[in-house]
Amino acid sequence: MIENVWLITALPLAGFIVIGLLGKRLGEKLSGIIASLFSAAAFVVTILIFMEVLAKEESARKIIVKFFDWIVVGKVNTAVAYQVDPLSLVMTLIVTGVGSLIHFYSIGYMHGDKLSAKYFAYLNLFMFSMLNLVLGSNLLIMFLGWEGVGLCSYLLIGYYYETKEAGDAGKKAFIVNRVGDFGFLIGIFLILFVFGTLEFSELEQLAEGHKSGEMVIFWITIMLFIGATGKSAQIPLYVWLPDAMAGPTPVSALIHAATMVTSGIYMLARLSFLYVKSPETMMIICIIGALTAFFAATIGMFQNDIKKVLAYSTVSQLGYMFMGVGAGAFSAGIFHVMTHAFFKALLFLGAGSVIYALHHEQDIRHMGGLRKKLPITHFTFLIGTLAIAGTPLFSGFFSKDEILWKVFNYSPAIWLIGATGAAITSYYMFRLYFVTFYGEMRYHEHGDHKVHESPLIMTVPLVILAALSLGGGLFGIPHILDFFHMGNLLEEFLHHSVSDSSVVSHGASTEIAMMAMSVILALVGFFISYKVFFKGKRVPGKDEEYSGLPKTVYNKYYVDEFYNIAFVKSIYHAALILWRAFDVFVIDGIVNGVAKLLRNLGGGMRETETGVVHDYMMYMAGGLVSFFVLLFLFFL
Amino acid sequence: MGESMNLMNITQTHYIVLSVLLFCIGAAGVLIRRNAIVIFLCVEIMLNAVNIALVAFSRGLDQNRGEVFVFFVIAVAAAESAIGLSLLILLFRQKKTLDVDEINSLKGNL
Amino acid sequence: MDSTALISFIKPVVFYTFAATAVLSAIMVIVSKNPLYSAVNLVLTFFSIAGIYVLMGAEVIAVFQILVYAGAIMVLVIFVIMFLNLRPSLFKIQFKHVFRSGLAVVFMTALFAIIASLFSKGVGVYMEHAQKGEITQAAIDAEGGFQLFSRALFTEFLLPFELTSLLLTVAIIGVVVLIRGMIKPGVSKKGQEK
Repeated sequence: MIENVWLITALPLAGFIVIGLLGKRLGEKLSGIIASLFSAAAFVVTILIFMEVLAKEESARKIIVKFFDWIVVGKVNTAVAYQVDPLSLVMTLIVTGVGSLIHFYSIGYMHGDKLSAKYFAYLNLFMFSMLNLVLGSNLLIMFLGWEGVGLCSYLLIGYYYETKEAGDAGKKAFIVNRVGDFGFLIGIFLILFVFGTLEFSELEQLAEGHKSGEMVIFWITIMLFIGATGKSAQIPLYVWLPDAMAGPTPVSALIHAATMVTSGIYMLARLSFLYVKSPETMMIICIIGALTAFFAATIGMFQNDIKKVLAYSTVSQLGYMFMGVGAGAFSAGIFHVMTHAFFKALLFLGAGSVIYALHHEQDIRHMGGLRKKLPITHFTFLIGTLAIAGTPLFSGFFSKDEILWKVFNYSPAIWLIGATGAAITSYYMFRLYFVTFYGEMRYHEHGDHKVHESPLIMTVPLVILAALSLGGGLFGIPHILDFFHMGNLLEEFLHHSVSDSSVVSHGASTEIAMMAMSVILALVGFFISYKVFFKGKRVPGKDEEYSGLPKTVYNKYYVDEFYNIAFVKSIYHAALILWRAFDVFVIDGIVNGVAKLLRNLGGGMRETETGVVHDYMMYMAGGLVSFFVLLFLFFL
Repeated sequence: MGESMNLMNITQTHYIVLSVLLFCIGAAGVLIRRNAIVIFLCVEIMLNAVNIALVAFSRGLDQNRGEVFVFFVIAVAAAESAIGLSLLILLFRQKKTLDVDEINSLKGNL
Repeated sequence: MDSTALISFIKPVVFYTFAATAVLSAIMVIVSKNPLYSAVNLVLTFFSIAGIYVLMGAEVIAVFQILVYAGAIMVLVIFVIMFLNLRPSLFKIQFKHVFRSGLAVVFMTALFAIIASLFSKGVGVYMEHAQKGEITQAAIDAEGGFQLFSRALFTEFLLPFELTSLLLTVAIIGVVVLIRGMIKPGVSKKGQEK
């Protein structure tokens, strides 16, 4: 089955082609079913391959399946090939598994949308690109997938393209990503220049020959990291993600929670052998991750759109993943990718369920009292909230804790930022939970649009994801809590695929103390939220009521406005000048000038056709005389 | 001028020079005059110049070929003048003028 | 006085007289304002040229020149001039005409200078080395120029001779066709003979 790994990407591609061509005829429901089935089929294939790989022993778990040579230039031979190893399998399982659930969910959510065949085509195309990204055996295939998901992100964010908001959001996502991609490309060029190959397996071997801290490794890793900040929404390129909430909610769940945004982490993990050779870059990554985590969390505290809260939460959680990676704990970062995929997708789909029930109301100030009306949604949302806040036994607890522990060993200062962020996370997530589901119902039911639970096809995925959010922690039980002696399954599984430069310089007792610390912080956030929003039944105020610091935070610290002035407007004006001065004046001038010249020449020549025979005779005489003059000179 | 040239000793060269001179005069006339008939007359001058050259060579080489050719030239010139003059008459009737500069129907799109 | 000496004295004089007349009257053809004057000057030119022909020893051609050119063609031309009632030229003289004339004179002077200098070198050389034919002056003196000429015309050059007569016929027909439009309708069929 491993040789048939191409099926995993071929199935969604087939779905895209079929729905893309026949979508109008198939109709909404059928398109959705086809898309979902193809995704699910890809998941099944992944499971089969996974089991086959599990059966092999540890050192034999990297299999490269080559399809054909692609770019062969000089000494560089880039093939179209997939690398089947633990890391790519983990990612593929997440993408196909969670992705399929979201496909099924979408069938219910997009009900009534007349263009949903296009939606499912795009979803399948996205799956195809993302799977190429994680399965590719070299940087070129990965970059193809990278760009592909960027494109699908643009298509899906701007799905409701008739509204300016959606169109702008799509463009913003694509353009900001592009800035990051520029860095990525420079990184690829440098790698090609230095190592002469783009294959991961070859790079891993070649990297052995370089010393730690070399200048060129630093630049390569920094450039690639810039690409990661674009795709994974870190400072300074995170600004597209909150705007991306303009797209349909399942899209937010899939792309901006579970899969695409994690590409950056995956890329870092994939090239971990390179990153461990550049401690400076790792430090930068860790710091940026921490700052982002904290910064985004503060913004999330004040947001009133249910999706925006989750969006900033995503940015924040991605920051945690980068923190872990920066501290050298690559597998911890991947672990958090996995758990985050579960609970964030769950939260987004749950939010989608709420939005669906309330007929596309997204402001939490108009929600409330939905606990009884939407029981399943409420219950699963609660599980998701508990998971993200880091409640013990839930998956989020294990993954976030592992990261914080490794970061504490790396740098207590950075740990402090991360821990504070965790407290804030707990606070704003419970704020969201309480305001949305408790209190009196501020939503006005009109006519026959009663508020009721979403259909099964939407609630079943919620339940599945809730179970995963709960049990997902089993994959990474840390040693000190390993009562059943399972071992850290994920870390062992990933052992040979990713490097690990994390240090543990403190003992087990410190570890337990830190763990307790995280729980306490989470509880602190919970309690504040509980007091204000549950007991106090406070509802966030109207927009005009904000002032001072809260107003600044609520307005995202005016970062977008700053970017607009500093970058957008200046480039726009520069382009305008260039256009006027150069394009119109010089180039058009040349082109028009040539035309004018020819016209005048022609006009001049036209004057010779007088129709007067004498003039023609003069021309003849002149020619004759010239001929003879030449003859004469020749004889001279 | 060649060494064998002596102004007093009339050789073929003299006749040839005369022929060329008359030809150039005729050509100049064709280019200068605007009256159609006068142009025609100048063309006749040119023809005659050529005839002189032909006869000169013919006699110089002791043949009669050139002379016979000149005979035909004269005959053709006669035929040509008949038709040419009738065309001129028709032209005059149409355009009311014989100024060739006015007869510019061949004029392009000026 | 010796006859050859006399000849060698008279020949250049005669030649230069006829040549000068020819050139001068040719120039007068061009220069005269009155087309009638031009025509008459042309006649004079033809006569001079006929004299040149005699000097060269080609009396046959001289006769034809006078008969056909001066006698027929020029008569026709003068008829036409009078028929069209052409007055001395009243054409407006513009700069472009003066310019053109000047340019033409320059061209033709140059042309003459070049060709004359080119030919004058070569002709003598050619004449010395070329193969001569049989119709020498002696032969002409013996049999008579016209006899020799006619013999050639009706034997060696019979085809061109016949074709020329055909050509003349065509010319006549052509003239008649062209002129037909000028004949007013209503004239009896006899008028077609014109």
